[in-house]
Amino acid sequence: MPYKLLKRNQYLNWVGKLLDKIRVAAPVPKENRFGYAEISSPEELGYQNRYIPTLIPPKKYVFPRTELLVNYNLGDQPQAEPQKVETEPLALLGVKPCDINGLRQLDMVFLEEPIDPHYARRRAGLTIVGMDCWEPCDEYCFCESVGGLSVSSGYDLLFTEHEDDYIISVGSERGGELLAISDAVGDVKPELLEALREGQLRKFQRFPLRLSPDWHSLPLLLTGTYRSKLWEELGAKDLSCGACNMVCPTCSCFDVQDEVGLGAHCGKKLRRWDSCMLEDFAKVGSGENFRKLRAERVRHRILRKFKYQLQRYGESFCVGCGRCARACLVKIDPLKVLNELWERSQQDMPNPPSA
Amino acid sequence: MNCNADDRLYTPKLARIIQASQLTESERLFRLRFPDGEGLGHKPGQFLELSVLGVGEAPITIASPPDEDGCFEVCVRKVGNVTSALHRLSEGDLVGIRGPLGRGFPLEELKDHDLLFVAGGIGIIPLRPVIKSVLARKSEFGRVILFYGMKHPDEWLFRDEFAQWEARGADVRVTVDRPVAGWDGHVGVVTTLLAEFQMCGEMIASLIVGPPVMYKFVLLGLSAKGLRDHKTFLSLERHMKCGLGKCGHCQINGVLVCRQGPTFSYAELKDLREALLG
Repeated sequence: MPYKLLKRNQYLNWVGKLLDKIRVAAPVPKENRFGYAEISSPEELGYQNRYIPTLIPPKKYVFPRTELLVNYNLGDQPQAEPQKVETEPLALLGVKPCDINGLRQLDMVFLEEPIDPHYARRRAGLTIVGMDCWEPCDEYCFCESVGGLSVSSGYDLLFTEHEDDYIISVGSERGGELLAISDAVGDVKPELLEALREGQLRKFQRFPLRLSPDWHSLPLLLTGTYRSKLWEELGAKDLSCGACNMVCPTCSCFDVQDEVGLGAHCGKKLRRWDSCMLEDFAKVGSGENFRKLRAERVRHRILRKFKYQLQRYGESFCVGCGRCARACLVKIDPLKVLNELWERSQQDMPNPPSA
Repeated sequence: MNCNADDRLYTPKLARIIQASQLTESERLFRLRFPDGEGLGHKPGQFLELSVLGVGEAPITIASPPDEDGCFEVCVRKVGNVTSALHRLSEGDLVGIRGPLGRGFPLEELKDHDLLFVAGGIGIIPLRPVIKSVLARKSEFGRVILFYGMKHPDEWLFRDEFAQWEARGADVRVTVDRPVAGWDGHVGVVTTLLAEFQMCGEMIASLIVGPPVMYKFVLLGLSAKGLRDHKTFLSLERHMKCGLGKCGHCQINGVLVCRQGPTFSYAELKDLREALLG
């Protein structure tokens, strides 16, 4: 993978040039935190390369909270036509490794056959410019424990701070072209690249593993603890508010609804983010509810991230960003849930036979 | 980035209701056809997403066998918004169709087998296309046995077709849950019909469709008779909202019913703890 170099004091200059070419969205200060928003000048860039993950993940640019899917006419000549996704190309700046992984995992779901046309068109117009992390964000993040601290794909450009420079990993041709708009971008000397690699290895020491079991073994742990009492305890605490789903970078569930225009001449089908924590999520027309209890829904959410999707796609579908735990009013934290299941499973282990 | 996506993935194709008949107090049968004459191209056991424009969309099992002159049927119980709106439509009206979706019953793998069908209530609907397809080529299969249970004789779906199925060689037994004035047939839940049934050999397959509680008892009843997990097939009802494996609503543990089902062998289901009650 090719690498390029840009002086850190040239970064805003490059962003300015980028803004002449393409729409740009980046984390900007919002309600004491950060939120992705479009910017029109480099000065609006709110983050100083270190920010706690945004309130809402950048998935909103490829999988909007509400998306118009179909328009139709009622009346004498009913007709239904797909809504064309017309979107100007967009570059996302400052995307953390956890969010790069989140977007990559949404690709796995939506671009798997049958390819979701609305997602595919938005994604085709998206350029992902990552910003690598050197420090854990706060007590909620645990990307290192789910294999997400370093990324090697899923971005067009990945910036890594190194002293006065950014060393930039070029992940795609499109990324390379967008970098080339600035004369300040140069090549990286091999010894600098070597120093960066050493630094990255040392970085892992600053992110101690906080998940007791190895993430690869989570499907096994979650199979063995399916009937654990912990699920009932969590169900008793849980509020079924769905905030965890709304802020999750890999939650991809949605509802499809019809809306009729005034006068009932036309209507549309929309999809909206949905939440597996809500009571009606698994309810069918006849009234049967297949996940009626909160405990069942809490368990489903955890198992979907750490077992079902993991087994289907080969990686943890929790990227360890900590958003759900930060957002949870009753402080249900997946890291703590998994560690507690692990603790209890250790206690339940029968003693080995004495010699 | 791949943009070879089908832009019409979520867009229903309009089909015309060419016949609508009230089968029972709450179930109505609709015969549909696309105005361009194109067939649906489905397999027995598959489903479709049916839109009543202006109201919404619901997953509905396909009630007819393939290739009926470009026509296909759905038999719908009035339970929610979409199905109630559908019941208000009549001949000539248009509905939206997406599909066929999901996996049908593996009929070709069941050739030369004796086939036991167990249906409870509206569970007969997804089995009807299988029964009709099998009876149309009866020489390719062994015995065809149908056990049908319902709460009340008034709920008997496709009643006039049962005689035709018998005439074509099916062994049909019908039961109602409790005694009812005017009913002189078998009384008792559908599992009571299993008592006199003998199952022997490898070449027998069961296809079971009914409410969740029925599965448990029929499977229990059949397991005492040497049921083979990989030759026992069920169809599960879940809320397949998108039908494309994306929206997450129909997920049972790690399985997406809309893509990997809705028909499953019992071998595929028995370790899925959310699949069958209890």
